[in-house]
Amino acid sequence: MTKLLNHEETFELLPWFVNGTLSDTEHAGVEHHVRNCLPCRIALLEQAQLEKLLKQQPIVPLSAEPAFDRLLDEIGAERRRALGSSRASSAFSGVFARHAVTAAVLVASLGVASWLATLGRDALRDSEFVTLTGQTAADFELDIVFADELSAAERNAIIGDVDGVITAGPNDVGRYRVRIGGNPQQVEDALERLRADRRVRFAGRAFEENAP
Amino acid sequence: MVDRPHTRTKQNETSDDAVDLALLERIGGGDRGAFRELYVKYYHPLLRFIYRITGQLESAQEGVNDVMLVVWQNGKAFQGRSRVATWILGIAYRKALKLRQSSRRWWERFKAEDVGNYDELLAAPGEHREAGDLQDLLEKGMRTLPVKQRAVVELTYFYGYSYEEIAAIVDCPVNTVKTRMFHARARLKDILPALAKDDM
Repeated sequence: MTKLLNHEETFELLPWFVNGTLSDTEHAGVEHHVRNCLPCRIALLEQAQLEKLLKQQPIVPLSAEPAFDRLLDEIGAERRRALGSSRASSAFSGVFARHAVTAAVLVASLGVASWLATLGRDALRDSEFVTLTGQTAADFELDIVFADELSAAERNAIIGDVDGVITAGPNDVGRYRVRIGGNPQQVEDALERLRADRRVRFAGRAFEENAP
Repeated sequence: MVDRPHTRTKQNETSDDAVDLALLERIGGGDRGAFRELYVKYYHPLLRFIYRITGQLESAQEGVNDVMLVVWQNGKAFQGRSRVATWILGIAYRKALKLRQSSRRWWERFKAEDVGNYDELLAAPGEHREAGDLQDLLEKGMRTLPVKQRAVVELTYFYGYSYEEIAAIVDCPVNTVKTRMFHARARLKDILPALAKDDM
């Protein structure tokens, strides 16, 4: 059914009549009005010519590939920066913790009983352990080798299930480096799930030199 | 009877969007091959669109990578409320406006540009215009438009978007899109009769 459009409505819709995106009802309405309105016919010709000329304007002849490679470099650098700041943050926490413990030990050495000093040494060992753990978790990356017969979609599904993103690979032995988002526990869970998955031949932390 | 000059088919649109959606899903899983494919597909349309807004090729190139970085990082979060192309162009529009804000040098150059040639072209309506002249005239006419109007004109004629889709891309009501187009046409009216004469 044709919707009756007045002159203003028709004039307003002409650009989208020209690009063919009006609904059927609007299209028919514009067509009906234009048939009987000379100013709209002229305006329509102007719009059609404008579209033609805009589409003819040359596209800047630049190749996408070098730009894409630059973007990949940028993504890699961003990742390294993120890992760097995460390590720096862990290192800062470690240093801070060590200073706190050192202060406690100092207070203890100024006259508090010797058992407090022993407690201070235990605390020191704890803080060192936490620091080491922080550095390990800061990577959030795993090395994964999938079973040979897996399709790309299946691989992506497995990685997606553990909230991971491929950051490199596969290398010559089919190893992918995968970044797991979130927290250290999430990395642990991902590792456990991947190791239990029969479609995964190998899964280990990226910093370990135990990849195939 | 006026023929419909151009019709976008729903079928092509849907299958094209399905391809984009599939690529986006793979990108969400960290598939760089899929990312490359989508990047190459959108590189030139994005470059042109951002260039139209910023007027600087260098910042347009930077803008394309900014946009595609967002696609890489947030592809997984895409909820399918619009076509993938509409989503990507929406990101591009916001990035381009920011880039333009941060660098007004082009705009200052344009303002300082000698407009004598433009006037010359306008002053000879009866003469036959070569295609190159028309392109030049249109280019300069487009540059006189405020950036938001320019974006609507470009999205309508070059990219073939409906007014509803343009509203989604530039994040404004549909009536605002129509109003921007109306004002853009009014601003361009000095050159539009010349364009129509060529075709009559």
